[in-house]
Amino acid sequence: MKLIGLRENSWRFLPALILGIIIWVLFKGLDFKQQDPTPQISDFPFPEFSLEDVRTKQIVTLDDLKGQLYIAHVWASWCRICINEHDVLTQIKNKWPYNLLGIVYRDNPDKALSILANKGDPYEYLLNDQAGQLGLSLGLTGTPETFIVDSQGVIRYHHLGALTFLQFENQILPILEQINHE
Amino acid sequence: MIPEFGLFALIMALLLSMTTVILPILTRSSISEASQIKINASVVLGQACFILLSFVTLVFCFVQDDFSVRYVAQNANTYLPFMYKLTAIWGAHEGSLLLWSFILALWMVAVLFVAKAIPGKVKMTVLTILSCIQTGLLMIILKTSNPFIRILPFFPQDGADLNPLLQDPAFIMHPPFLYLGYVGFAVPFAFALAECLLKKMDYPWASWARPFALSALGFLTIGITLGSWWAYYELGWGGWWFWDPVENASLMPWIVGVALIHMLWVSAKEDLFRTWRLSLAIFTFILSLMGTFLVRSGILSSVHAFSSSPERGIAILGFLSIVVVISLGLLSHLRGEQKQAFVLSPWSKASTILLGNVLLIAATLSILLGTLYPIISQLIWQKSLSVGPPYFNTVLLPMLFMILILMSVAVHLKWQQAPDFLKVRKYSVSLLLACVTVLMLINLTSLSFVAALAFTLALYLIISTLMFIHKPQKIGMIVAHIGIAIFVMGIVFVSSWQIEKEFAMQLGQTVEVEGFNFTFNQLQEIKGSNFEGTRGTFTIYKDNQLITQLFPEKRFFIAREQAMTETAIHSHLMRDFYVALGEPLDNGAWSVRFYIKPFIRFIWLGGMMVALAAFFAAIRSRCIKEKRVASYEIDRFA
Repeated sequence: MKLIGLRENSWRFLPALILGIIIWVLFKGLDFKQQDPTPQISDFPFPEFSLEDVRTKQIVTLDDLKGQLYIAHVWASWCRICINEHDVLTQIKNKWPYNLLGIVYRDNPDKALSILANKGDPYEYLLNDQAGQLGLSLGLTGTPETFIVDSQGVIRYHHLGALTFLQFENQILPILEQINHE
Repeated sequence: MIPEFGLFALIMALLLSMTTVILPILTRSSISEASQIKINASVVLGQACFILLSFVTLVFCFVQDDFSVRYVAQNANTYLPFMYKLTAIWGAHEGSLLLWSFILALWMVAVLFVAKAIPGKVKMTVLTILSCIQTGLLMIILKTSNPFIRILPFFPQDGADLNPLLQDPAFIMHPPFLYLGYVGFAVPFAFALAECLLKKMDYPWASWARPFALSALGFLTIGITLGSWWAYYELGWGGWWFWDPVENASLMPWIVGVALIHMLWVSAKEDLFRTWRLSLAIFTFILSLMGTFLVRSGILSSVHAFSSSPERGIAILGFLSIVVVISLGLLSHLRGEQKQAFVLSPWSKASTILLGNVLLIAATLSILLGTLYPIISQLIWQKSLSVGPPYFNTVLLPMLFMILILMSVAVHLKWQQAPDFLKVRKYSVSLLLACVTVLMLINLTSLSFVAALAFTLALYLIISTLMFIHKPQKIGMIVAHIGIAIFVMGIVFVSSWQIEKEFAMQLGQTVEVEGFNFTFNQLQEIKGSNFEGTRGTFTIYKDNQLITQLFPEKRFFIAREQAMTETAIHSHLMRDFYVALGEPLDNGAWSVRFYIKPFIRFIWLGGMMVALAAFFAAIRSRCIKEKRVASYEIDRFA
């Protein structure tokens, strides 16, 4: 009798235990979300494109990028988060020797240029994706997004949302160095 | 000045709801119970008035285009049509929580006025518990998501506009109904806690909580159905359910809510399974809160993609934890006198309902696991992955089948005894008939085995339920169960016979799909108050007879810089034609998607039938309807 009673009692704790675990998982998940939105390692080819450079008005294609490692960054002047993030990119450019490819997404080129004039221009190329075609082929879910494109024109890494300098050093830099080793 | 007025009202509401909680403790000995009940009622009313005031103030800010209020600037625009200015209130986090609180206040007023048969003391306890929830919620709103924060002195000239996905008539109604459901489950939850607190075992707790649980379930069903309909035509993917985390978050309380109303019905008849019933009431509300958390914290990425900050997530999670600890603590302290043992046959109605309950809980836990698995996997294996429809379909389909069988059988069983032998023989005859139907369906139609089985079970359920058509008191059950059967049939037909084609079409070109001729007639520019775009004209012919003309659109929302696909749908009870304009291609052609969806309306028809049945059963409930009889019973209990 006592044994059964004990068993009945311990059954009572099962839902509490399950709920406790769920809440813990949710709490931890929240923590994760904070540190790291959604890093994605991928190996898709960068889509073909032929777009004007915002500054030089010259046509740039995918072939121009091949042979070098690029950090491609999609942004726009109407995107508040992108503008706040801009300093991080300038910092990256100042500290590391990697090439930056800017993609101005569905934006007025003049507005984009005026921001660069104010805050500095870290980009090798600055593509004008006014029609949003490149963004569409990239499968953009929002701005800003950052891609690492290797010398073969393959996307090796895809970062959603704004980048912090810490994230760059901890997550992206190792990948860049690894690609450089290859 | 006006937004501050709203904030002031919100603070007043918080103070009053705190008063409701503290007053009974302070005045326990000094004031008579009758006057305590009176004070409680008036404070609850006052609190509801202030929340209403605060809600109306926010509406006013939206209508006035007051972009100095941050929430308005983020979610509205001068060119936003008036209807959407009203609905933009629940377009984002702050307003959604205010709506949550407003609806909770409405439910409290409903408890106060509608349930006449409930004794004052019980009502006061229930309202006090609900006030505790309200207090927590208002604190969260004021601390982390105050909708009245201003951007001063330099405020934007124009707002950022409402997310275009949400600019849709179905979306106007979707969140309020969903919240009416979520929040409504707070009432049976409060009744469960009151039962644990007051320890009056002989009160008819189940029949008191039942109308509230039923109407909450009805609202939640409408909310989910509207959401599914909205996803079908607004997201432009042609599906009606995506096992998206946010959808799952609303489905889980629904399933446990279904288990709860059945258990409440059993308990209202016979005092059985008390702990199980109380746990269900508590878990339904906890799942509702968890749903709010999942949607509002942005912890899981989903089509709904609500932006968020972790601070808000932590606030809601903390609230959830407090609710869990208190309610489970109260539940575990419940010690009733042992009821005398009775014999319950495994083939009785009561035990089949219990078995159905267990299946529903198992289904909920599977959905919960699938929904949280991405987080768990990131936590343990540091891998981000998503769990898709294959998992959910594989796991839930067998459970759905078992539940369908139980539903058809259970209604014919006796309360506590096994059925007699004659009936068993009748069942085996119908089982044989069902097997024959499955085999015939597979041979004669293009249905797969699973689809044929599902269809047969649904048919079986309809026939078995219709045997009660002569009993008007069972009308709620009949409509709801047939609704489920129709819903299942809709799924079977859509998944077996739908046609999805994609073409690159030039203007003037005609393509043939399953005997229907689709022609791309025209392409024109359009301009709305807050968007511009392109509209295509398509005609559908069958045997040279015009069936319909469709106008799918591609819209570009100016303020948000966001492109949206407006699908065009010709709907008919028997079949939907669905045309979506894709992207323009290089050679002047457009990519165009044609879907033919047979019987997809059945899915939502089934949902609406369930909702209607729930409301009907709620209105018919004894505690609302038969006031005199019930109060007589209370006298006897007292």
